[in-house]
Amino acid sequence: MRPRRAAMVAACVLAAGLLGCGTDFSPVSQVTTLRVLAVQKDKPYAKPGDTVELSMLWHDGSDEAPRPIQRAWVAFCFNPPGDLFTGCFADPARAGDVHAEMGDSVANDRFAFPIPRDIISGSRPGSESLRYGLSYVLFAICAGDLSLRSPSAEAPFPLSCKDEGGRDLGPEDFVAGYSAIYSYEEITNQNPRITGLEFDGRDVTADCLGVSCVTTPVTEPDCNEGGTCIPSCAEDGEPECPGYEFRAIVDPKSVELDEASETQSQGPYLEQMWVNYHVSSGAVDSDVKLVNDAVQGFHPEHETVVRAPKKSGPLTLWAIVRDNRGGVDWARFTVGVD
Amino acid sequence: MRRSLFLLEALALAIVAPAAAQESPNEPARTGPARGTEPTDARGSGAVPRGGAGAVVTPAKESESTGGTKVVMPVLKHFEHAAYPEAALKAGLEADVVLELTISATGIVTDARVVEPVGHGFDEAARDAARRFTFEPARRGTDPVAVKILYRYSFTLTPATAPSKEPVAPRYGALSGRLRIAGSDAPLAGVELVVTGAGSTYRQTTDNEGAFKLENLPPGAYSVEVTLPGYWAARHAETVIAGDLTEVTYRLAPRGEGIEVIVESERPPREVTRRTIERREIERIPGTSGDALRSIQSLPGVARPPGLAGLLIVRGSAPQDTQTFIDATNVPIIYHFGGLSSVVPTEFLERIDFYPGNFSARYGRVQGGIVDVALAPPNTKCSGDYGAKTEKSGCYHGMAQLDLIDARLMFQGPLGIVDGWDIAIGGRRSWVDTWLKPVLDAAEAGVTSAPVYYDYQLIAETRPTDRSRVSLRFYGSDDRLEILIRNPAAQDPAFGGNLTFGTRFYRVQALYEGQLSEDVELRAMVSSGYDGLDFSLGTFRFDLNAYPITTRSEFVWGLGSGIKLNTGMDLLVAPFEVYVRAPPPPRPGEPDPGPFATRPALETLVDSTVFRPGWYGELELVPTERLRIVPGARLDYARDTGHADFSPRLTARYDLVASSTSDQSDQGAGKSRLRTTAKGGVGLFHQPPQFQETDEVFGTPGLFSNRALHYSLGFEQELSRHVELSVEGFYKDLTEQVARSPTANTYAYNNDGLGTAYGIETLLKYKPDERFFGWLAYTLSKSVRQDGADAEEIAFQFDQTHNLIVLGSYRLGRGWEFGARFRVVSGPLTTPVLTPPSLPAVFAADAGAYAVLQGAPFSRRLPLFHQLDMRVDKRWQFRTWRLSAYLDVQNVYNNAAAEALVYNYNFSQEQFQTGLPIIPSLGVRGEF
Repeated sequence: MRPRRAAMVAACVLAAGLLGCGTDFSPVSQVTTLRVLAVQKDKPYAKPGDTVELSMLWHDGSDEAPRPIQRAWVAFCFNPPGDLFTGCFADPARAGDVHAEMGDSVANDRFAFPIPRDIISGSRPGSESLRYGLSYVLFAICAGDLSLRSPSAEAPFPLSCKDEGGRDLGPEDFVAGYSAIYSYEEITNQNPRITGLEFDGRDVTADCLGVSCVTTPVTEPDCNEGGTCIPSCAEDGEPECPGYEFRAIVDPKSVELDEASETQSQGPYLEQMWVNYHVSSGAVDSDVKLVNDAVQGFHPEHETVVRAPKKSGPLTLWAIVRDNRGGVDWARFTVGVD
Repeated sequence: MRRSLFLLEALALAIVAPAAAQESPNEPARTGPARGTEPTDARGSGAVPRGGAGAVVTPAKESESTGGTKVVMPVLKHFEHAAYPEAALKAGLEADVVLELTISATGIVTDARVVEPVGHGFDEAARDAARRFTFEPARRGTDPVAVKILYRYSFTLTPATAPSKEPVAPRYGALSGRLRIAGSDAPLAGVELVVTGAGSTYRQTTDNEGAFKLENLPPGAYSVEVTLPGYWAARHAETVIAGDLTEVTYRLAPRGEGIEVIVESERPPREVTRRTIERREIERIPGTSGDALRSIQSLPGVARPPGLAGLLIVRGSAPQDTQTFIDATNVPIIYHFGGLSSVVPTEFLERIDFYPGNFSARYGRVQGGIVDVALAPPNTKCSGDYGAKTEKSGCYHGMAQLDLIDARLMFQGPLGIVDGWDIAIGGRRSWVDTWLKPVLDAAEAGVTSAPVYYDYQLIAETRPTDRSRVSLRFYGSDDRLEILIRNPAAQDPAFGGNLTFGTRFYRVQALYEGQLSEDVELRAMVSSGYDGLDFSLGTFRFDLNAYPITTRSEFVWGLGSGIKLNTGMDLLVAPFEVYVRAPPPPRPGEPDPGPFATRPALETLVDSTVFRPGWYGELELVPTERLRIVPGARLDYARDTGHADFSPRLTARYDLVASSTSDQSDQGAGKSRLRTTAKGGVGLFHQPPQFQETDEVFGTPGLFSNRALHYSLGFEQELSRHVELSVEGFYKDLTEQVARSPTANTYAYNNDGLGTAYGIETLLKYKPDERFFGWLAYTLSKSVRQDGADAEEIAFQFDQTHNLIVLGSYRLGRGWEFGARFRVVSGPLTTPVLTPPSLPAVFAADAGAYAVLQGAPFSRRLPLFHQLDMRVDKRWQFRTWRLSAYLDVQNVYNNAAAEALVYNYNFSQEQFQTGLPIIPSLGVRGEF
């Protein structure tokens, strides 16, 4: 047993009573089904009356890809009770102000809607300076037929995805989700910024950065033309495979003060920031790495280690950086596997 | 080889009715020498007559009527050997059987009747043999006549007096041995042994080497009793065999090894049920590593908490509904790091009283249960050699202990510089940080401060008079850790970054107990201290600093025969400052709010003072020795809520059968009647809302106290000197509970919550004796909640239908002790995720994680929990100090118990989160 694994086992034994560990699920980083990877808002904190544009980064990692994928967006839920997203599980047909789009084109990967001007209204606990409004946008992608439906206790989400036989599709072919847009009178937020990528210890050119990835198709690099390639691994991404460091280069200046924390706390906190790594095949050692801690600051060693798959072909890597105030940025890089 | 000769002593007392026998048939056997003539064949391997038969013959009725001719006694011509009863032979028993024989005029025995039954098979054997006797008939003149005679048939293991060429078998045996201190080979000199058997009692005192020898003991069964102050009394059964030397070694266990701790009260409790755990039990319950407060979790009515959590879940109440006091002072935490070990080491405890419900009016502001821990006064009693207890005091004691988690030191004795004061001081520090830090580092967690905890205790005590006691204490606890989590949790990246956690408290406490007059007793306590709690994770933070002052004064008034009045007041004044920055957490059963990572935090900063006085009164009415009725009431005021609560309570106990003892000094050893007690109670209990529930930012101001009505009814039955059965049913009606429901764009708290908890608790307990203690505890219960009268009823989060615990510990001798605990408990409840046609979860895009779509709250029960824990202790007693070691193994057969469900990233797959695997814990301790 390698020392690191032994340490993990020891840590698991210590924490098993409360935290649990030792599961053998496929990690979140492996994109082998239809998946939404991120949704970016051009204004993570939008002011009342602003129009917010959202872009969806998704990938169909199933063996049936490419196949038609429908996308849908619905915005009709503002300031639900307790700020709970489940408070938005209502029938959109009965809502007064509904913004919705649905289709299977690239254009449907983007959606815009206006924030109500009176979004910051009504009673909400907390100090006046921290009062906010909350808008929810519901979205879904579906490898079947997508439609609105009346929520029920058995199926509360107001969108359904069915196959040709009218059967509800499961999470491998249907992903539903939400994005929350907070609105303050004064406080704003910018998305974090990825400036580049490192692979195996050297700077590499990303396939795409930010929303451009929505429209940029994946192409396999030509190993003979200077493309980045790695040999396949018979152990198919297991720790025995050679590792290649992969790191999103994040602009430390894109870390902002968490202004909402300045009112009463002892000192201003920074944004908490982290990066999610995803691979289309193979594996990464760490799914999530800390980029910036609210107290201790920037943490540059946020790389993960990529291990090659058994199957040759393009290996797509995503790095998605998020902050704790709804900001997000992403980059994509494709490696050839010989 | 055992050899026996059977002798028959023929004592022929002729009776010729109406008999005027000179020896009464009722006279005990073997009252005199045999007066009959010895038959010529009276020897051999069978029963043989011993001595002659002296007979005073009274003519038989029919003969008597014939007038004055002298009657000549019948003469035994044929003697029949009786078979010596086998069981009696093995037991070494002897007996004389007196028979009335009717002898015909031809010399035949026509009837044989046992006059004096002695049992053990002797009667039948003697009668059967006598019926085969033949006699030279009695004669009146020259005429043979029928007569009745008394005949004593003797069964004895002594050799026949008849001359024999065979070697004479030995008639006596001997018993010798040595007396030692358990755990060492140290001899115990000058100790008297009492040996009882064969109808006699012998006393022997050990010599300087601890040796003793008793010779010329008749063969048979003996009981050897050894009692010595400071040691557990011992009683042994031995068999002495004629011609043999029985050698034994006895080892006495010093009582000093366990603090005499618990502590059944001298009088019946004021509460319906008070469960007290003895020190020996606390230290030896397997699976607890000797931790005092963890032992409570083995009692009936206490649910098994999940994993390592040190929660006290009592009779279906929430963990925060049960409070812990140290001598009437509330303490904020009872376990280091939420369950690792108790904040007060076992060595400082005098007793732990646990009240699962219907507790006294002395306790307020709690609607669940009470744990009241009493600190022990400094021990200055002197020990003799090898730990023997003495009557002397003024000595010092010390203790050092090391196990895999922590190390502790304790020292106690007279203060020295101030006469009459004794002192105890102790401290403990965990050392898990020394080995956990490398583990966490290897797991890529940057450890700034590895988990570490301390606790410390100082007690100074004096007795100004024989009837008063003053105790000053200073004790506290400190836990802290700081870790940088570089790999945030994929399911919620909020659980990443800088994690700090610290809890600390201390108390300065003064205690006075005294008899002010014949009829008035005062118990007073005042304490002041500090509570600190800080927690931060990323941008979330919780900081609490409080300076609680608590007082309690109770007067006990003797109002006459069988009437006592307890009146008291307690007060909590706590200036505090709290700062919270976090998203509002969901309450149990509420929908998942999604990942915390991107939810904006709410902030609150409160600087205020808690002011909560309480007054109580309680009558103890004992109209008869068997009946005790305790009506009481309590009035509490909470300035923070602006409400006052009145809580009347009533408990009663009645001895249907009062126990009676013939030997009060032996704790019921001589009980002639076993107690049967019926008990019951009803009472109202109030508990103010939690801080976060009334806070302006996180909660809803204007809430009032939770309300619980407790009912209980049961009985206690002594089954033997050591075994007692207790059965109690309980029902709790929870009303005005703080609940939460959506209103407008927020969730608002209210007092609309309802709930019930009911069940039955059974405790079959073997009280500790010199070798064994153990119990079987079974609780059957159900607990449900409602957020309002119209809301759906859901199971209580920690509801456990069945909870069975069997445990015991046995002293094997030579310092070894072995114990085991086996538990079978209903699996924990969990909230399932939705199934098709619904997705199980939705993607919370801002956090990059999934938010679960929940089904009915707590509607799925995980598989049954069962676990075996074992413990082995070994103790070595030296002349001036003692060394002990233990191995406590939890989950011996490595059962992978399901503690919860864990899911993959999108909740489409599930697995059981299993509990702790087999965990051995080793500890070493030295003390003097």
